[in-house]
Amino acid sequence: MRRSKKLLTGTCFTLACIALLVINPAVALAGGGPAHTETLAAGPYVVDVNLYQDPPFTDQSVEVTVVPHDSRLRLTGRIVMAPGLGTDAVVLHAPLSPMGQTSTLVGTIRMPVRGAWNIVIQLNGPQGSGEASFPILVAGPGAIPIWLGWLIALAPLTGFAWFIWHQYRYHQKLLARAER
Amino acid sequence: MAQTEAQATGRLSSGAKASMRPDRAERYLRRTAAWILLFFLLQGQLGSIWDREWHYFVGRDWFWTPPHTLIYSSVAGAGLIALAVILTDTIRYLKGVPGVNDTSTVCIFKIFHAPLGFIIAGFGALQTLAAAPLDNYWHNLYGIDIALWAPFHMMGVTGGMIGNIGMVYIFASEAAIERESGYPYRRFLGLSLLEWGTLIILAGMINFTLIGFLQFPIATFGLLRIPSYPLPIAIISALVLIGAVRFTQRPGTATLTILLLSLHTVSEGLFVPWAIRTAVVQQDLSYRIPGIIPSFNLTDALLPLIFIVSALIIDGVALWRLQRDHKLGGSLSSTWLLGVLITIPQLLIAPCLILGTWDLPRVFLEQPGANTPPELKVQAALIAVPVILASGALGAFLGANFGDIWHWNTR
Repeated sequence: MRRSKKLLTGTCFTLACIALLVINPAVALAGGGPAHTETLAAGPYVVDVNLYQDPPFTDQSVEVTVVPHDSRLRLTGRIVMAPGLGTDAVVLHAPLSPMGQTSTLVGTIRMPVRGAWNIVIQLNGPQGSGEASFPILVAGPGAIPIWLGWLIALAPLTGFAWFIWHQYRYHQKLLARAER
Repeated sequence: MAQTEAQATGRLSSGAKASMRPDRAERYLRRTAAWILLFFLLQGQLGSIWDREWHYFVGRDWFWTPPHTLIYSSVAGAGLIALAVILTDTIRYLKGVPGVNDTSTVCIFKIFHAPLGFIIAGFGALQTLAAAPLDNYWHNLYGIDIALWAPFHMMGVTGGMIGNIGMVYIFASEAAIERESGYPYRRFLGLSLLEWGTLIILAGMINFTLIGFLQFPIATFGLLRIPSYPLPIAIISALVLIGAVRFTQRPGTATLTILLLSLHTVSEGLFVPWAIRTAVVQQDLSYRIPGIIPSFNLTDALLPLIFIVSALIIDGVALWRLQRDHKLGGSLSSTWLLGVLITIPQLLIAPCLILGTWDLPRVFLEQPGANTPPELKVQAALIAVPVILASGALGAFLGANFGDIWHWNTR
Protein backbone atom coordinates (compact mmCIF):
# COMPACT_ATOMS: atom_id res chain seq x y z
CA MET A 1 0.00 0.00 0.00
CA ARG A 2 2.87 2.33 0.91
CA ARG A 3 4.43 1.45 -2.41
CA SER A 4 1.20 2.44 -4.17
CA LYS A 5 1.23 5.82 -2.43
CA LYS A 6 4.82 6.44 -3.50
CA LEU A 7 3.93 5.49 -7.04
CA LEU A 8 0.91 7.77 -6.97
CA THR A 9 3.11 10.69 -5.87
CA GLY A 10 5.71 9.88 -8.53
CA THR A 11 3.13 9.57 -11.28
CA CYS A 12 1.46 12.84 -10.31
CA PHE A 13 4.84 14.60 -10.28
CA THR A 14 5.72 13.26 -13.75
CA LEU A 15 2.35 14.32 -15.14
CA ALA A 16 2.74 17.77 -13.61
CA CYS A 17 6.17 18.12 -15.26
CA ILE A 18 4.73 17.13 -18.65
CA ALA A 19 1.85 19.57 -18.20
CA LEU A 20 4.26 22.36 -17.32
CA LEU A 21 6.38 21.59 -20.36
CA VAL A 22 3.33 21.83 -22.59
CA ILE A 23 1.63 24.80 -20.99
CA ASN A 24 4.45 27.11 -20.08
CA PRO A 25 5.63 29.27 -22.97
CA ALA A 26 8.59 31.28 -21.78
CA VAL A 27 8.18 35.03 -21.89
CA ALA A 28 11.01 37.46 -22.50
CA LEU A 29 10.13 40.60 -20.62
CA ALA A 30 11.67 44.01 -20.76
CA GLY A 31 13.68 43.61 -17.62
CA GLY A 32 16.70 45.61 -18.78
CA GLY A 33 17.37 47.76 -21.81
CA PRO A 34 16.45 46.84 -25.36
CA ALA A 35 18.52 44.18 -27.09
CA HIS A 36 17.99 45.73 -30.49
CA THR A 37 16.80 49.13 -31.72
CA GLU A 38 15.70 50.08 -35.23
CA THR A 39 15.01 53.65 -36.27
CA LEU A 40 12.27 53.73 -38.87
CA ALA A 41 10.29 56.28 -40.81
CA ALA A 42 6.74 54.98 -40.80
CA GLY A 43 5.23 57.45 -43.22
CA PRO A 44 5.41 60.85 -41.50
CA TYR A 45 6.45 59.37 -38.14
CA VAL A 46 10.04 58.73 -37.16
CA VAL A 47 10.17 56.13 -34.43
CA ASP A 48 12.61 53.93 -32.56
CA VAL A 49 11.48 50.32 -32.38
CA ASN A 50 13.02 48.49 -29.45
CA LEU A 51 13.17 44.70 -29.27
CA TYR A 52 13.90 43.30 -25.83
CA GLN A 53 15.35 40.05 -27.08
CA ASP A 54 17.54 39.60 -30.12
CA PRO A 55 17.26 37.22 -31.74
CA PRO A 56 13.75 36.33 -30.57
CA PHE A 57 13.19 32.64 -29.88
CA THR A 58 10.34 30.62 -31.34
CA ASP A 59 7.15 30.63 -29.26
CA GLN A 60 8.60 33.14 -26.79
CA SER A 61 6.78 36.40 -26.29
CA VAL A 62 9.10 39.36 -26.76
CA GLU A 63 8.17 42.87 -25.74
CA VAL A 64 8.44 45.61 -28.35
CA THR A 65 8.25 49.34 -27.71
CA VAL A 66 7.72 52.01 -30.35
CA VAL A 67 9.07 55.39 -29.29
CA PRO A 68 8.23 58.41 -31.51
CA HIS A 69 11.04 60.93 -31.83
CA ASP A 70 8.42 63.64 -31.37
CA SER A 71 7.26 62.93 -27.81
CA ARG A 72 4.13 65.10 -28.25
CA LEU A 73 2.66 62.66 -30.74
CA ARG A 74 -0.10 60.33 -29.60
CA LEU A 75 -0.07 57.38 -31.98
CA THR A 76 -2.02 54.14 -32.29
CA GLY A 77 -1.13 51.12 -34.32
CA ARG A 78 -0.28 47.47 -34.54
CA ILE A 79 2.57 45.11 -35.34
CA VAL A 80 2.35 42.68 -38.23
CA MET A 81 4.68 39.69 -38.18
CA ALA A 82 5.09 38.48 -41.76
CA PRO A 83 7.05 35.30 -42.51
CA GLY A 84 10.07 35.98 -44.70
CA LEU A 85 11.41 34.00 -47.60
CA GLY A 86 11.67 30.29 -46.78
CA THR A 87 9.69 30.50 -43.55
CA ASP A 88 6.53 28.38 -43.54
CA ALA A 89 4.10 30.33 -41.36
CA VAL A 90 1.12 32.64 -41.52
CA VAL A 91 0.96 36.41 -41.04
CA LEU A 92 0.33 37.35 -37.39
CA HIS A 93 -0.88 40.56 -35.77
CA ALA A 94 -0.35 42.14 -32.37
CA PRO A 95 -1.85 45.38 -31.04
CA LEU A 96 0.23 48.34 -29.88
CA SER A 97 -1.06 50.13 -26.81
CA PRO A 98 0.12 53.32 -25.06
CA MET A 99 2.53 52.88 -22.17
CA GLY A 100 0.90 54.91 -19.40
CA GLN A 101 0.63 58.60 -20.21
CA THR A 102 3.72 58.64 -22.48
CA SER A 103 3.89 58.68 -26.26
CA THR A 104 5.56 55.26 -26.26
CA LEU A 105 3.59 52.31 -27.62
CA VAL A 106 4.12 48.81 -26.32
CA GLY A 107 3.24 45.43 -27.81
CA THR A 108 4.30 41.81 -27.75
CA ILE A 109 5.45 39.68 -30.63
CA ARG A 110 5.70 35.91 -30.76
CA MET A 111 6.73 33.92 -33.82
CA PRO A 112 6.03 30.18 -33.93
CA VAL A 113 8.60 29.17 -36.56
CA ARG A 114 12.32 29.79 -36.77
CA GLY A 115 13.82 31.67 -39.71
CA ALA A 116 13.35 34.96 -41.50
CA TRP A 117 10.49 37.25 -40.50
CA ASN A 118 9.57 40.84 -41.25
CA ILE A 119 8.30 43.04 -38.48
CA VAL A 120 5.91 45.62 -39.90
CA ILE A 121 4.95 48.59 -37.73
CA GLN A 122 1.67 50.20 -38.79
CA LEU A 123 0.95 53.57 -37.16
CA ASN A 124 -1.93 56.02 -37.18
CA GLY A 125 -1.74 59.59 -35.88
CA PRO A 126 -2.61 63.22 -36.54
CA GLN A 127 -0.63 63.22 -39.81
CA GLY A 128 -2.34 60.13 -41.21
CA SER A 129 -1.09 56.57 -41.35
CA GLY A 130 2.24 55.07 -42.17
CA GLU A 131 4.11 51.81 -41.98
CA ALA A 132 7.66 50.57 -42.00
CA SER A 133 9.30 47.21 -41.59
CA PHE A 134 12.58 45.60 -40.72
CA PRO A 135 13.75 42.00 -41.04
CA ILE A 136 14.61 39.80 -38.09
CA LEU A 137 15.85 36.27 -37.74
CA VAL A 138 13.99 34.09 -35.24
CA ALA A 139 16.09 31.50 -33.49
CA GLY A 140 14.79 27.99 -32.94
CA PRO A 141 15.68 25.06 -30.75
CA GLY A 142 18.58 22.85 -31.82
CA ALA A 143 17.45 20.41 -34.47
CA ILE A 144 17.75 16.69 -33.93
CA PRO A 145 18.37 14.46 -36.96
CA ILE A 146 15.17 13.43 -38.70
CA TRP A 147 15.96 9.74 -38.23
CA LEU A 148 16.18 10.33 -34.48
CA GLY A 149 12.79 12.06 -34.57
CA TRP A 150 11.28 9.02 -36.23
CA LEU A 151 13.04 6.69 -33.82
CA ILE A 152 11.59 8.53 -30.81
CA ALA A 153 8.15 8.78 -32.39
CA LEU A 154 7.92 5.16 -33.41
CA ALA A 155 9.52 3.66 -30.29
CA PRO A 156 6.13 3.23 -28.53
CA LEU A 157 4.91 1.21 -31.50
CA THR A 158 7.24 -1.62 -30.53
CA GLY A 159 5.24 -1.91 -27.32
CA PHE A 160 2.02 -1.91 -29.31
CA ALA A 161 3.37 -4.58 -31.67
CA TRP A 162 4.19 -6.69 -28.61
CA PHE A 163 0.65 -6.08 -27.35
CA ILE A 164 -0.86 -7.33 -30.62
CA TRP A 165 1.31 -10.46 -30.43
CA HIS A 166 0.31 -10.94 -26.79
CA GLN A 167 -3.36 -10.58 -27.67
CA TYR A 168 -2.98 -13.11 -30.48
CA ARG A 169 -1.61 -15.61 -27.92
CA TYR A 170 -4.40 -14.63 -25.53
CA HIS A 171 -6.96 -15.29 -28.26
CA GLN A 172 -5.57 -18.78 -28.74
CA LYS A 173 -5.80 -19.37 -25.00
CA LEU A 174 -9.38 -18.11 -24.78
CA LEU A 175 -10.34 -20.18 -27.82
CA ALA A 176 -8.89 -23.33 -26.24
CA ARG A 177 -10.77 -22.56 -23.02
CA ALA A 178 -14.04 -21.97 -24.90
CA GLU A 179 -13.66 -25.26 -26.79
CA ARG A 180 -13.16 -27.20 -23.53
CA MET B 1 -27.39 -16.73 -24.81
CA ALA B 2 -31.09 -17.68 -24.73
CA GLN B 3 -31.06 -17.43 -20.97
CA THR B 4 -29.52 -13.99 -21.13
CA GLU B 5 -32.17 -12.89 -23.62
CA ALA B 6 -34.88 -14.10 -21.28
CA GLN B 7 -33.29 -12.22 -18.43
CA ALA B 8 -33.00 -9.12 -20.52
CA THR B 9 -36.60 -9.07 -21.63
CA GLY B 10 -38.40 -10.71 -18.75
CA ARG B 11 -36.82 -9.39 -15.58
CA LEU B 12 -36.25 -5.72 -16.16
CA SER B 13 -38.47 -4.90 -13.23
CA SER B 14 -36.04 -6.68 -10.94
CA GLY B 15 -33.76 -3.68 -10.76
CA ALA B 16 -33.58 -4.17 -7.05
CA LYS B 17 -31.91 -7.51 -7.61
CA ALA B 18 -29.24 -5.88 -9.74
CA SER B 19 -28.67 -3.23 -7.12
CA MET B 20 -27.96 -5.94 -4.54
CA ARG B 21 -25.07 -7.44 -6.50
CA PRO B 22 -21.85 -7.49 -4.48
CA ASP B 23 -19.71 -5.87 -7.18
CA ARG B 24 -22.18 -3.00 -7.70
CA ALA B 25 -19.70 -0.31 -6.60
CA GLU B 26 -17.01 -1.59 -8.93
CA ARG B 27 -19.40 -1.73 -11.88
CA TYR B 28 -20.51 1.82 -11.08
CA LEU B 29 -16.91 3.05 -10.87
CA ARG B 30 -15.76 1.50 -14.13
CA ARG B 31 -18.88 2.35 -16.12
CA THR B 32 -18.97 5.98 -14.96
CA ALA B 33 -15.30 6.30 -15.89
CA ALA B 34 -16.00 4.59 -19.24
CA TRP B 35 -18.78 7.01 -20.23
CA ILE B 36 -16.68 10.02 -19.20
CA LEU B 37 -13.85 8.64 -21.32
CA LEU B 38 -16.25 8.26 -24.24
CA PHE B 39 -17.16 11.93 -23.89
CA PHE B 40 -13.46 12.84 -23.97
CA LEU B 41 -12.96 10.63 -27.01
CA LEU B 42 -15.69 12.39 -28.97
CA GLN B 43 -14.29 15.74 -27.85
CA GLY B 44 -10.80 14.77 -29.00
CA GLN B 45 -12.02 13.56 -32.37
CA LEU B 46 -13.98 16.73 -32.93
CA GLY B 47 -10.86 18.70 -32.00
CA SER B 48 -8.73 16.68 -34.42
CA ILE B 49 -11.00 17.36 -37.38
CA TRP B 50 -11.30 21.00 -36.38
CA ASP B 51 -7.49 21.14 -36.19
CA ARG B 52 -7.08 19.74 -39.70
CA GLU B 53 -9.48 22.33 -41.09
CA TRP B 54 -7.94 25.08 -38.94
CA HIS B 55 -4.53 24.41 -40.48
CA TYR B 56 -6.03 24.59 -43.95
CA PHE B 57 -8.18 27.67 -43.55
CA VAL B 58 -6.42 29.72 -40.85
CA GLY B 59 -2.93 28.31 -40.28
CA ARG B 60 -1.15 27.63 -37.05
CA ASP B 61 -0.21 30.79 -35.16
CA TRP B 62 0.77 29.08 -31.89
CA PHE B 63 0.29 25.85 -29.98
CA TRP B 64 -2.85 26.80 -28.09
CA THR B 65 -5.20 27.19 -31.02
CA PRO B 66 -8.88 26.48 -30.16
CA PRO B 67 -8.83 22.98 -31.72
CA HIS B 68 -5.57 22.13 -29.92
CA THR B 69 -7.16 23.24 -26.65
CA LEU B 70 -10.08 20.91 -27.35
CA ILE B 71 -7.79 18.01 -28.23
CA TYR B 72 -5.31 18.28 -25.40
CA SER B 73 -7.86 19.00 -22.70
CA SER B 74 -9.64 15.80 -23.72
CA VAL B 75 -6.40 13.80 -23.82
CA ALA B 76 -5.33 15.11 -20.41
CA GLY B 77 -8.79 14.43 -18.99
CA ALA B 78 -8.85 10.91 -20.41
CA GLY B 79 -5.34 10.21 -19.10
CA LEU B 80 -6.23 11.42 -15.62
CA ILE B 81 -9.44 9.35 -15.54
CA ALA B 82 -7.52 6.25 -16.63
CA LEU B 83 -4.83 6.92 -14.04
CA ALA B 84 -7.42 7.44 -11.31
CA VAL B 85 -9.14 4.14 -12.10
CA ILE B 86 -5.82 2.27 -12.26
CA LEU B 87 -4.74 3.58 -8.86
CA THR B 88 -8.18 3.14 -7.29
CA ASP B 89 -8.53 -0.41 -8.56
CA THR B 90 -5.01 -1.27 -7.40
CA ILE B 91 -5.96 -0.21 -3.88
CA ARG B 92 -9.33 -1.97 -4.12
CA TYR B 93 -7.61 -5.13 -5.39
CA LEU B 94 -5.24 -5.10 -2.42
CA LYS B 95 -8.23 -4.63 -0.10
CA GLY B 96 -10.06 -7.56 -1.74
CA VAL B 97 -13.12 -5.53 -2.73
CA PRO B 98 -15.77 -7.65 -4.55
CA GLY B 99 -15.50 -7.42 -8.35
CA VAL B 100 -11.81 -6.49 -8.28
CA ASN B 101 -9.92 -9.72 -8.65
CA ASP B 102 -7.80 -11.64 -11.11
CA THR B 103 -10.76 -12.34 -13.39
CA SER B 104 -11.52 -8.64 -13.84
CA THR B 105 -8.06 -7.02 -13.72
CA VAL B 106 -4.60 -7.56 -15.15
CA CYS B 107 -1.35 -6.97 -13.31
CA ILE B 108 1.28 -4.64 -14.77
CA PHE B 109 4.76 -3.91 -13.49
CA LYS B 110 3.97 -6.44 -10.73
CA ILE B 111 2.32 -3.60 -8.77
CA PHE B 112 -0.80 -2.28 -10.47
CA HIS B 113 -4.01 -4.26 -10.82
CA ALA B 114 -6.56 -2.69 -13.14
CA PRO B 115 -8.76 -3.47 -16.14
CA LEU B 116 -6.63 -3.83 -19.27
CA GLY B 117 -8.61 -1.18 -21.14
CA PHE B 118 -7.82 1.57 -18.65
CA ILE B 119 -4.12 0.66 -18.80
CA ILE B 120 -4.06 0.79 -22.62
CA ALA B 121 -6.11 4.02 -22.66
CA GLY B 122 -3.74 5.55 -20.10
CA PHE B 123 -0.70 4.66 -22.19
CA GLY B 124 -2.37 6.05 -25.31
CA ALA B 125 -3.14 9.35 -23.58
CA LEU B 126 0.40 9.54 -22.17
CA GLN B 127 1.88 8.95 -25.62
CA THR B 128 -0.30 11.66 -27.19
CA LEU B 129 0.56 14.11 -24.40
CA ALA B 130 4.27 13.33 -24.73
CA ALA B 131 4.00 13.90 -28.49
CA ALA B 132 2.50 17.39 -28.03
CA PRO B 133 5.65 19.35 -27.04
CA LEU B 134 7.71 17.33 -29.49
CA ASP B 135 5.25 18.15 -32.26
CA ASN B 136 5.44 21.82 -31.31
CA TYR B 137 9.24 21.56 -31.45
CA TRP B 138 9.00 20.06 -34.96
CA HIS B 139 6.70 22.90 -36.07
CA ASN B 140 9.14 25.43 -34.57
CA LEU B 141 11.86 23.96 -36.77
CA TYR B 142 10.11 23.11 -40.00
CA GLY B 143 7.05 25.34 -40.19
CA ILE B 144 3.32 24.95 -39.93
CA ASP B 145 2.57 22.89 -43.03
CA ILE B 146 4.46 19.73 -42.23
CA ALA B 147 2.21 16.87 -43.33
CA LEU B 148 0.50 14.41 -41.04
CA TRP B 149 3.32 12.07 -42.04
CA ALA B 150 5.73 13.80 -39.66
CA PRO B 151 7.29 11.87 -36.77
CA PHE B 152 5.52 13.49 -33.85
CA HIS B 153 2.20 13.81 -35.67
CA MET B 154 2.36 10.05 -36.14
CA MET B 155 3.33 9.61 -32.49
CA GLY B 156 0.25 11.59 -31.43
CA VAL B 157 -2.03 9.83 -33.89
CA THR B 158 -0.88 6.34 -32.88
CA GLY B 159 -1.28 7.37 -29.23
CA GLY B 160 -4.84 8.39 -30.03
CA MET B 161 -5.50 5.09 -31.79
CA ILE B 162 -4.05 3.13 -28.85
CA GLY B 163 -6.34 5.13 -26.55
CA ASN B 164 -9.30 4.23 -28.79
CA ILE B 165 -8.45 0.55 -28.58
CA GLY B 166 -8.12 0.82 -24.82
CA MET B 167 -11.59 2.28 -24.61
CA VAL B 168 -13.02 -0.53 -26.69
CA TYR B 169 -11.51 -2.93 -24.15
CA ILE B 170 -13.08 -0.98 -21.28
CA PHE B 171 -16.61 -1.06 -22.70
CA ALA B 172 -16.30 -4.58 -24.10
CA SER B 173 -15.04 -6.07 -20.83
CA GLU B 174 -17.90 -4.47 -18.93
CA ALA B 175 -20.34 -5.79 -21.56
CA ALA B 176 -18.83 -9.27 -21.16
CA ILE B 177 -19.11 -9.05 -17.36
CA GLU B 178 -22.72 -7.91 -17.72
CA ARG B 179 -23.49 -10.75 -20.15
CA GLU B 180 -21.93 -13.39 -17.90
CA SER B 181 -23.26 -12.06 -14.61
CA GLY B 182 -26.82 -13.29 -15.04
CA TYR B 183 -28.22 -10.01 -13.75
CA PRO B 184 -30.85 -8.24 -15.85
CA TYR B 185 -29.88 -5.36 -18.12
CA ARG B 186 -31.53 -3.18 -20.72
CA ARG B 187 -31.16 -3.70 -24.45
CA PHE B 188 -31.86 -1.37 -27.34
CA LEU B 189 -32.19 -3.01 -30.76
CA GLY B 190 -30.76 -6.15 -29.20
CA LEU B 191 -27.64 -4.47 -27.85
CA SER B 192 -26.81 -3.43 -24.30
CA LEU B 193 -25.81 0.16 -23.57
CA LEU B 194 -22.22 -0.96 -23.15
CA GLU B 195 -22.29 -2.66 -26.54
CA TRP B 196 -23.65 0.56 -28.05
CA GLY B 197 -20.79 2.41 -26.39
CA THR B 198 -18.32 -0.04 -27.93
CA LEU B 199 -19.81 0.45 -31.39
CA ILE B 200 -19.62 4.24 -31.03
CA ILE B 201 -15.91 3.94 -30.22
CA LEU B 202 -15.35 1.53 -33.11
CA ALA B 203 -17.08 3.99 -35.46
CA GLY B 204 -14.82 6.66 -33.94
CA MET B 205 -11.76 4.60 -34.90
CA ILE B 206 -12.72 4.77 -38.58
CA ASN B 207 -13.56 8.45 -38.15
CA PHE B 208 -10.14 9.03 -36.59
CA THR B 209 -8.50 7.40 -39.62
CA LEU B 210 -10.57 9.48 -42.02
CA ILE B 211 -9.25 12.66 -40.41
CA GLY B 212 -5.97 12.23 -42.19
CA PHE B 213 -7.25 10.70 -45.38
CA LEU B 214 -5.88 13.43 -47.61
CA GLN B 215 -2.85 14.13 -45.47
CA PHE B 216 -0.99 10.90 -46.07
CA PRO B 217 1.92 11.17 -48.46
CA ILE B 218 1.82 10.19 -52.09
CA ALA B 219 4.67 7.90 -53.06
CA THR B 220 5.94 8.97 -56.48
CA PHE B 221 7.85 6.62 -58.81
CA GLY B 222 8.29 8.49 -62.08
CA LEU B 223 4.79 8.84 -63.45
CA LEU B 224 3.48 6.44 -60.87
CA ARG B 225 1.87 8.09 -57.86
CA ILE B 226 0.53 5.86 -55.13
CA PRO B 227 -1.53 7.56 -52.41
CA SER B 228 -0.85 5.80 -49.12
CA TYR B 229 -4.12 6.67 -47.38
CA PRO B 230 -5.96 3.55 -48.67
CA LEU B 231 -3.63 1.42 -46.52
CA PRO B 232 -4.70 2.68 -43.07
CA ILE B 233 -8.30 2.97 -44.23
CA ALA B 234 -8.38 -0.64 -45.47
CA ILE B 235 -6.76 -1.93 -42.27
CA ILE B 236 -8.92 0.00 -39.83
CA SER B 237 -12.23 -0.52 -41.63
CA ALA B 238 -11.71 -4.28 -41.81
CA LEU B 239 -10.57 -4.36 -38.18
CA VAL B 240 -13.54 -2.35 -36.98
CA LEU B 241 -16.32 -3.92 -39.04
CA ILE B 242 -15.28 -7.53 -38.53
CA GLY B 243 -14.40 -6.76 -34.90
CA ALA B 244 -17.89 -5.31 -34.34
CA VAL B 245 -19.67 -8.43 -35.59
CA ARG B 246 -17.35 -10.79 -33.71
CA PHE B 247 -17.74 -8.74 -30.52
CA THR B 248 -21.54 -8.58 -30.54
CA GLN B 249 -22.02 -11.93 -32.34
CA ARG B 250 -24.86 -10.26 -34.18
CA PRO B 251 -25.27 -9.67 -37.92
CA GLY B 252 -26.15 -6.06 -38.63
CA THR B 253 -23.67 -4.46 -36.28
CA ALA B 254 -21.17 -3.72 -39.07
CA THR B 255 -23.80 -1.69 -40.92
CA LEU B 256 -24.90 -0.12 -37.65
CA THR B 257 -21.29 0.96 -37.03
CA ILE B 258 -21.26 2.71 -40.41
CA LEU B 259 -24.50 4.49 -39.53
CA LEU B 260 -22.88 5.68 -36.30
CA LEU B 261 -19.87 6.79 -38.34
CA SER B 262 -22.24 8.83 -40.53
CA LEU B 263 -23.52 10.60 -37.43
CA HIS B 264 -19.90 11.48 -36.59
CA THR B 265 -19.09 12.85 -40.04
CA VAL B 266 -22.33 14.78 -40.57
CA SER B 267 -22.27 16.41 -37.12
CA GLU B 268 -18.59 17.30 -37.49
CA GLY B 269 -19.24 18.64 -40.98
CA LEU B 270 -21.88 20.93 -39.54
CA PHE B 271 -19.91 22.01 -36.47
CA VAL B 272 -16.37 22.57 -37.74
CA PRO B 273 -16.97 25.24 -40.43
CA TRP B 274 -19.19 27.17 -38.02
CA ALA B 275 -16.56 26.88 -35.26
CA ILE B 276 -13.80 28.16 -37.53
CA ARG B 277 -15.83 31.10 -38.77
CA THR B 278 -16.82 32.01 -35.20
CA ALA B 279 -13.28 31.72 -33.81
CA VAL B 280 -11.82 33.76 -36.67
CA VAL B 281 -14.25 36.59 -35.94
CA GLN B 282 -13.83 36.40 -32.16
CA GLN B 283 -10.03 36.26 -32.23
CA ASP B 284 -9.65 38.84 -35.01
CA LEU B 285 -7.79 36.38 -37.23
CA SER B 286 -7.65 36.31 -41.00
CA TYR B 287 -8.02 33.41 -43.42
CA ARG B 288 -4.89 32.09 -45.06
CA ILE B 289 -6.36 32.57 -48.51
CA PRO B 290 -8.65 35.59 -48.51
CA GLY B 291 -12.14 34.61 -49.62
CA ILE B 292 -11.67 30.90 -48.91
CA ILE B 293 -14.07 30.46 -46.00
CA PRO B 294 -15.09 27.05 -44.63
CA SER B 295 -18.57 25.68 -45.24
CA PHE B 296 -20.33 22.31 -45.01
CA ASN B 297 -18.49 19.81 -47.21
CA LEU B 298 -20.84 17.15 -48.55
CA THR B 299 -18.00 14.85 -49.67
CA ASP B 300 -16.55 14.71 -46.15
CA ALA B 301 -19.98 13.99 -44.72
CA LEU B 302 -20.56 11.19 -47.22
CA LEU B 303 -17.21 9.46 -46.64
CA PRO B 304 -18.87 6.62 -44.65
CA LEU B 305 -20.42 5.49 -47.96
CA ILE B 306 -16.99 4.08 -48.81
CA PHE B 307 -17.62 1.34 -46.26
CA ILE B 308 -21.33 0.64 -46.64
CA VAL B 309 -20.99 -2.22 -49.16
CA SER B 310 -18.18 -3.77 -47.09
CA ALA B 311 -20.38 -3.62 -43.98
CA LEU B 312 -23.29 -5.24 -45.82
CA ILE B 313 -20.99 -8.03 -47.03
CA ILE B 314 -19.76 -8.70 -43.48
CA ASP B 315 -23.29 -8.70 -42.08
CA GLY B 316 -24.46 -10.91 -44.93
CA VAL B 317 -21.71 -13.44 -44.26
CA ALA B 318 -22.50 -13.37 -40.53
CA LEU B 319 -26.20 -13.96 -41.18
CA TRP B 320 -25.39 -16.76 -43.60
CA ARG B 321 -23.18 -18.44 -41.00
CA LEU B 322 -25.78 -18.13 -38.26
CA GLN B 323 -28.49 -19.61 -40.48
CA ARG B 324 -26.26 -22.64 -41.00
CA ASP B 325 -25.50 -22.94 -37.28
CA HIS B 326 -21.88 -21.90 -37.71
CA LYS B 327 -20.23 -19.88 -34.98
CA LEU B 328 -19.39 -16.22 -35.63
CA GLY B 329 -16.26 -16.26 -33.48
CA GLY B 330 -13.35 -18.55 -32.89
CA SER B 331 -11.32 -19.48 -35.94
CA LEU B 332 -9.13 -16.89 -37.65
CA SER B 333 -8.13 -19.08 -40.57
CA SER B 334 -10.31 -17.74 -43.40
CA THR B 335 -10.85 -14.18 -42.22
CA TRP B 336 -8.16 -12.84 -44.57
CA LEU B 337 -10.37 -13.78 -47.51
CA LEU B 338 -13.25 -11.75 -46.10
CA GLY B 339 -10.79 -8.87 -45.64
CA VAL B 340 -9.82 -9.00 -49.30
CA LEU B 341 -13.45 -9.24 -50.36
CA ILE B 342 -14.59 -6.21 -48.38
CA THR B 343 -11.67 -4.06 -49.55
CA ILE B 344 -12.64 -4.38 -53.22
CA PRO B 345 -15.79 -2.19 -53.00
CA GLN B 346 -13.82 0.39 -51.01
CA LEU B 347 -11.26 0.54 -53.83
CA LEU B 348 -14.04 1.31 -56.28
CA ILE B 349 -16.19 3.65 -54.20
CA ALA B 350 -13.44 5.78 -52.60
CA PRO B 351 -11.96 7.26 -55.83
CA CYS B 352 -15.46 7.83 -57.16
CA LEU B 353 -16.54 9.67 -54.02
CA ILE B 354 -13.37 11.65 -53.37
CA LEU B 355 -12.12 12.37 -56.89
CA GLY B 356 -15.28 11.82 -58.91
CA THR B 357 -13.84 9.01 -61.03
CA TRP B 358 -14.31 5.26 -61.40
CA ASP B 359 -10.98 5.11 -63.23
CA LEU B 360 -8.86 3.43 -60.55
CA PRO B 361 -5.50 3.52 -62.41
CA ARG B 362 -5.97 7.25 -62.96
CA VAL B 363 -6.05 7.72 -59.21
CA PHE B 364 -2.55 6.31 -59.03
CA LEU B 365 -1.24 8.06 -62.10
CA GLU B 366 -2.85 11.44 -62.22
CA GLN B 367 -0.06 13.90 -62.99
CA PRO B 368 -0.91 17.30 -64.41
CA GLY B 369 -0.04 17.39 -68.09
CA ALA B 370 1.25 13.82 -68.22
CA ASN B 371 0.13 11.48 -70.99
CA THR B 372 0.14 8.09 -69.33
CA PRO B 373 0.56 5.03 -71.55
CA PRO B 374 -2.01 2.24 -70.94
CA GLU B 375 0.63 -0.34 -69.95
CA LEU B 376 1.79 1.93 -67.14
CA LYS B 377 -1.78 2.17 -65.91
CA VAL B 378 -1.90 -1.61 -65.71
CA GLN B 379 1.44 -1.65 -63.85
CA ALA B 380 0.14 0.91 -61.38
CA ALA B 381 -2.93 -1.14 -60.63
CA LEU B 382 -0.88 -4.34 -60.39
CA ILE B 383 1.42 -2.82 -57.79
CA ALA B 384 -1.03 -0.81 -55.70
CA VAL B 385 -4.14 -2.98 -55.63
CA PRO B 386 -2.53 -6.13 -54.13
CA VAL B 387 -0.87 -4.03 -51.41
CA ILE B 388 -4.21 -2.44 -50.51
CA LEU B 389 -6.00 -5.80 -50.57
CA ALA B 390 -3.28 -7.26 -48.33
CA SER B 391 -3.91 -4.39 -45.91
CA GLY B 392 -7.58 -5.33 -45.87
CA ALA B 393 -6.65 -8.95 -45.17
CA LEU B 394 -4.40 -7.87 -42.29
CA GLY B 395 -7.16 -5.67 -40.86
CA ALA B 396 -9.65 -8.54 -41.08
CA PHE B 397 -7.29 -10.87 -39.25
CA LEU B 398 -6.78 -8.28 -36.50
CA GLY B 399 -10.51 -7.56 -36.36
CA ALA B 400 -11.37 -11.22 -35.92
CA ASN B 401 -8.70 -11.65 -33.26
CA PHE B 402 -9.66 -8.53 -31.29
CA GLY B 403 -13.40 -9.04 -31.85
CA ASP B 404 -13.29 -12.46 -30.21
CA ILE B 405 -11.25 -11.11 -27.30
CA TRP B 406 -13.66 -8.21 -26.84
CA HIS B 407 -16.52 -10.70 -26.72
CA TRP B 408 -14.90 -13.00 -24.16
CA ASN B 409 -12.56 -10.85 -22.13
CA THR B 410 -13.73 -9.72 -18.68
CA ARG B 411 -10.44 -8.18 -17.60
